[in-house]
Amino acid sequence: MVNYSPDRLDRVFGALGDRTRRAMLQRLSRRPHSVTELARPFAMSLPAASKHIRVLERAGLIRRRRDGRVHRCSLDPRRLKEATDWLAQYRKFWESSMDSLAAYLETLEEQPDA
Amino acid sequence: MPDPTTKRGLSLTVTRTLRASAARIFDAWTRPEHMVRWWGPTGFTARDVSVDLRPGGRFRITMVPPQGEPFMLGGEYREIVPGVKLVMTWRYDGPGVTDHAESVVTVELAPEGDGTRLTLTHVFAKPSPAAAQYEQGWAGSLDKLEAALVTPTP
Repeated sequence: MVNYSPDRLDRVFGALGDRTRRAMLQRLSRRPHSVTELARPFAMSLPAASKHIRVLERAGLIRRRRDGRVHRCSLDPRRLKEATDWLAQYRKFWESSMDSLAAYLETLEEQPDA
Repeated sequence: MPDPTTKRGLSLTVTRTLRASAARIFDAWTRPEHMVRWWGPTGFTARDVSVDLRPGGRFRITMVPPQGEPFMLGGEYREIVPGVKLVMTWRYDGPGVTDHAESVVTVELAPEGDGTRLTLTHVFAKPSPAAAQYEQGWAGSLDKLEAALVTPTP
């Protein structure tokens, strides 16, 4: 069984539950970015962007590396995978429930007066 | 009114095209006599279904998994548009595990061809400790899946 650490997953959910941070992750999934590059598309100050980046970092979703005077951020896919594995349990639950619903509806189809 | 919980958090979406009218599918989701006949994954059975179908009204279902103890699923209806849309909060309550945060399930129905397209979205603002419980129940039900697929529901 997959072992879910509730506190760690809590931080990942908290970090992912924000549109700006999800957009940042999406860009990091393509290549590493500097903090300035990450902040650019959003109408926000550099300190505000840094705050979002810190939340992502604390959740273990990204890593930050100092490269001279530039901070480079890169995606750490492990935590993200943990969250999607967690969601997959619910997906299986609903996919199979929809199988049950479809099968039940078929039985009603055979008795139109039901 | 938009629900703030649907704006935040992780979500999953499942879509299915069903060969039935939207009205019939809506009944299957909201009338206890229908719900006990299908609710839950293959291998699970539902019993003691109670439904108070109005905004703010609650529903509660006892689920019996193929393995392990029965558990409770329940929540509160947020939005009810017969034949079109059903929004409800969702909470797991089982032996040793209770959701401390409700998640939100939205079921939307739209005509498609001679059937109906069902789109289900489940949004989690916080992780639920129940995920592992679902997985435990699943270990047994996967074995039964194939058998159940060839055995028609009575």
